[in-house]
Amino acid sequence: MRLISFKIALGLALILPAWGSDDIKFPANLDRLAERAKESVDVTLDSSMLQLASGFLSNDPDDRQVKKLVSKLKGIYVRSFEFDKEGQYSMSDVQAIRSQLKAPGWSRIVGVRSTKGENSEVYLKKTGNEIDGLVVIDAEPKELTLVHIDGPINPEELNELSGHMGIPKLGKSGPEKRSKEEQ
Amino acid sequence: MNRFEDELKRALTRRQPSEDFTARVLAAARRGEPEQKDRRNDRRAWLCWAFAVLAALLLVLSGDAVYQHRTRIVKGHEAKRQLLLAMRITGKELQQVRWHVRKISTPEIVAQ
Amino acid sequence: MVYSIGWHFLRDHAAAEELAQEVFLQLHRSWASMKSREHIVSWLRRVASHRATDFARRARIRAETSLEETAEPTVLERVHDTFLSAYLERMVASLPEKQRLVVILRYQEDMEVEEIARTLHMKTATVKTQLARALDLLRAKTSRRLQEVRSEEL
Repeated sequence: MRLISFKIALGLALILPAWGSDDIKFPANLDRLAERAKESVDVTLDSSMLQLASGFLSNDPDDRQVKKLVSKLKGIYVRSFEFDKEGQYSMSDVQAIRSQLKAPGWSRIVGVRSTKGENSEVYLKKTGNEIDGLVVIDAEPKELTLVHIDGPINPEELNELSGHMGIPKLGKSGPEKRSKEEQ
Repeated sequence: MNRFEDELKRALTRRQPSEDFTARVLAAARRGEPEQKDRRNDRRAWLCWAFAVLAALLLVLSGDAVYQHRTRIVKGHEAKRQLLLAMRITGKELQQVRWHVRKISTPEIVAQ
Repeated sequence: MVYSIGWHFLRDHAAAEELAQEVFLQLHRSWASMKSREHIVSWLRRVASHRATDFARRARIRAETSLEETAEPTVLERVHDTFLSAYLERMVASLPEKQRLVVILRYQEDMEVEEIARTLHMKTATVKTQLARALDLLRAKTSRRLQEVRSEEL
């Protein structure tokens, strides 16, 4: 029985996908989307890289705000793809992440679906009363963005960055769309 | 090497400058010349050079030390760039979600 | 390394520091062209060597007497200078400039003859000749002192 359990555990460990924190992992097969995308972003910053990055932030107000935001984080992971045409990714790619967000502690706080095929979700992980993780899934016909922030994060502090660092302020007609290069 | 050459090596052991020498050199470099504007503003290059000065003075100009320091500087700047990019993307995504929620909950905006 | 080349060549602390500062500031200006650790080291040695000879000519720093004229150590010197090293150091500083540089690069920097030749833009044969002459001169002047050191050690 013990041997069977070990084999099952080993099997799961082998098939479980690639990178990310301990609890949420972006599927390894997302890499192939970069080949089809006209623009893509791949950010993988674990705690040691976050510390390194923090050390290079300047004393200007925006950088100081970012330094404060990331000071206790364990990781930041972003995959973002922009395609020339629709149908370049499948919802099973997104489902592989959604299924992990059914784990204890995670809850979906916002889910927005539009008639244009845009589907945005925000998940938070709570440990007690503290937010311990944030996942954003933005699936649009020609764009797929996945963000995972692992560690204590305050979404309102993130909101304070709007209007700075290239983050659009929320006006009457909504935030402006920017290319990945402008971001 | 024979005995005499050993003595010569001992006689020509490396000497160290004054304790404040490094600080004076770095200060002089920071003052710089006007035509060096790009170099002055390139903090990364300046740090690498400053480290090389220190390493040369401390006689530890090992390839690994300089190379790894330069690598660390480059990695650090790249990590910072990625961090700021991640913050921008996350901020933008959350803004879009807020916008969608506002659209739904504020009819006058939906009407527009 | 840079300061030390200056010191052993000029035997003047302030001049050696000034030389070293100039070399490092020049390195700062040339930083973008540095390709590797080896490049930096060889660049520093080469520039420090050339600067040393410039400094010597600029400041007219010369040995008070040439090595050939230097008398054997007096009794007083032997009493006060019990270290062969210090004596050798002074004698090196009294060598003609080319021989002085070659000796410093050979015995302070541990450079091979070919490397010294590349650094000083000299032929290898010339470096060997300069080195041999310098050693002969230094040996001749220190032979008695060396014997004294050996007998003290026995």
